[in-house]
Amino acid sequence: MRTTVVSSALAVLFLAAAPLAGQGFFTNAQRAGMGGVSLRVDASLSRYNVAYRAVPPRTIQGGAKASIPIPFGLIQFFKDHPIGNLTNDPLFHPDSARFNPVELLNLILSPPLFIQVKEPPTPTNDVTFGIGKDLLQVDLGKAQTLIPAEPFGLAWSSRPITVEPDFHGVQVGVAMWLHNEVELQLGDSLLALLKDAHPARHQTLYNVLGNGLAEGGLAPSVGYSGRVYGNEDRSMYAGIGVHYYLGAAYGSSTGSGGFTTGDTIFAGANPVRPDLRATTSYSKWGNSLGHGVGVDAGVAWVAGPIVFGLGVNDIGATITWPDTRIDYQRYDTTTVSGSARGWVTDSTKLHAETKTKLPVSYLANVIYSLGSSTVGAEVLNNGRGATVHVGAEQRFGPIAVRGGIARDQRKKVEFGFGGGVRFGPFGFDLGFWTRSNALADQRAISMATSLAIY
Amino acid sequence: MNRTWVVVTVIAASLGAGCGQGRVIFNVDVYSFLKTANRDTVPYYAPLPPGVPDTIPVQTVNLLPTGAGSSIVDSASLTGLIAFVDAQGTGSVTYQLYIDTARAVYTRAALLTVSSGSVSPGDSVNTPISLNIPAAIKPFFTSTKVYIGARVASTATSPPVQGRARLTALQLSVALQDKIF
Repeated sequence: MRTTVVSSALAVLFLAAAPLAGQGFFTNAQRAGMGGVSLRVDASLSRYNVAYRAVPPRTIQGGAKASIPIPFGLIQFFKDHPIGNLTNDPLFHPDSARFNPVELLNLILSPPLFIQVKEPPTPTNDVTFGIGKDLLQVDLGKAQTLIPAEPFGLAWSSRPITVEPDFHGVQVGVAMWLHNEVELQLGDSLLALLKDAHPARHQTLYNVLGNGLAEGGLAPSVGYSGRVYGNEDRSMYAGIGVHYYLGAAYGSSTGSGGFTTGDTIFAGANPVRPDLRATTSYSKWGNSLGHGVGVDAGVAWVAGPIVFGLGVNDIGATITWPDTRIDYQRYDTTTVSGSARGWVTDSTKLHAETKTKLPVSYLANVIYSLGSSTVGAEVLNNGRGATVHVGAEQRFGPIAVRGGIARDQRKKVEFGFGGGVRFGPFGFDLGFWTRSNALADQRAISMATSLAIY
Repeated sequence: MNRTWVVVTVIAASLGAGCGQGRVIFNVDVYSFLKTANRDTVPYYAPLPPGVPDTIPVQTVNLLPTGAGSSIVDSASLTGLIAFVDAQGTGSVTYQLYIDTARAVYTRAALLTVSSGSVSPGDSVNTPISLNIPAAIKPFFTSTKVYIGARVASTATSPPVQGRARLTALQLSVALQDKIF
């Protein structure tokens, strides 16, 4: 049990790092210090705007060729949680009196790569249950703020490995693609019970709605990006990429889990009726491949010190899975020999065709660089709400000062500031940023550190 | 029953357990369980006629549907009000409350004894109930339910004595250290 919990938590922890990077968890101290904006023409821009592949990186002065994160946070984490004692660590050990699921979830939402200057506060209030023959009331106190009123979850579409060599603007290659979505939403009645401390009502369904999807495969791709107008000082760049998605495996599930109360809240041995149902469809590894076509397109305009770009990815990327199995499952409360029948599965729908859609992502950005000053702004939507980043950098010889502001996917305003010092071809950068990707109603502050190579 | 409550309890309890040093408090309206079963009122007689029981049938009181696991009960208390309504004769009445995690509650000592003092015909003596539950009993409240029993006994100074002991409130309050799982 302990080993399972520990290994599962660690697996989730490390798997979560990749998608979080795509959702504003910065591994680059320069970006962290500027509210997440990218002021360089680099991979973070060309990922979402294929036209930037043709824009010379030196268009913006002062940019580093590479940035290597220095994970001081891991030192702090493993000091607090010795690696030899992880199996007994209360953080991963639900049997411990000090186990705190909120703390564990916050760790997953924000991997401890960097030093946590200010941890997200964990509520420490009392929780009160009111129980009577016809009463169930739950008052979570301040912890009510942790109950999400809106759907919550994670979603990301990524290309973790891309091999697309460029031949005079033409790119031919292959990319590994992944698409994952997990979303949960409390039903209205359950929300009122937990968030507003409403008493449980008669003949009412209390449930959680959920859906999840995971799919991935390879995508042979061909594309072009190049300058289509202008000269060195004033240029228009355009790019397009076409991906033929080959899906290796796919699975999705949509369901509802909960119970319906009776005429009295606590009546008899079975006062509530379970209400559990799910529809699951999947195409296993080795089954027929999914297939679909998606297009990336973008433009970039460079006019002296100004760079402007607009890119859209995965246009029309619908994956068709020709041979999926669909299972309908429900919990049958009909009693047989004194006990409920339990889970009943209808697996009669085989070899069905299922379609999934990759989320369309877009990036609009502008960078203005003049002398030793650079400012920029960007709007990024990678399929789960838009984020806005605005930031600036001012260089004083070898020293750089940075600041920025952002609006995250939860529409909360975040702040960043930091600086760096350059020693010839190397530099050391420090960036602080506030974040709200935690089960808390107050911001946390992280400090990122990275080594820059110029 | 436990399984059917898992969704709401796990969410609520997780958050409760997630509240650091916060406690989980149960306020259980024991009276509502007795009232619904028409066991809030117990007749008393002195002398007790043959074949008339002086106890109520054992009643079940639900607690947290999943139980409270290995939680530690910080404190537990019982408060309430009982009225001794005398119809005939003069004497005194005692009301005893029993509690256990097993149905055989009357095999253990009473948790609480409330005395009416002297009662006379036409009297309605309201007596408050207040008890800090002893340490030996506290762990009972980490289970999914407890069993409750009540016994009424009367002593006559001017027999025969007849009346009713009627609960009008009985509230159990239990505070747990936040270890639900």
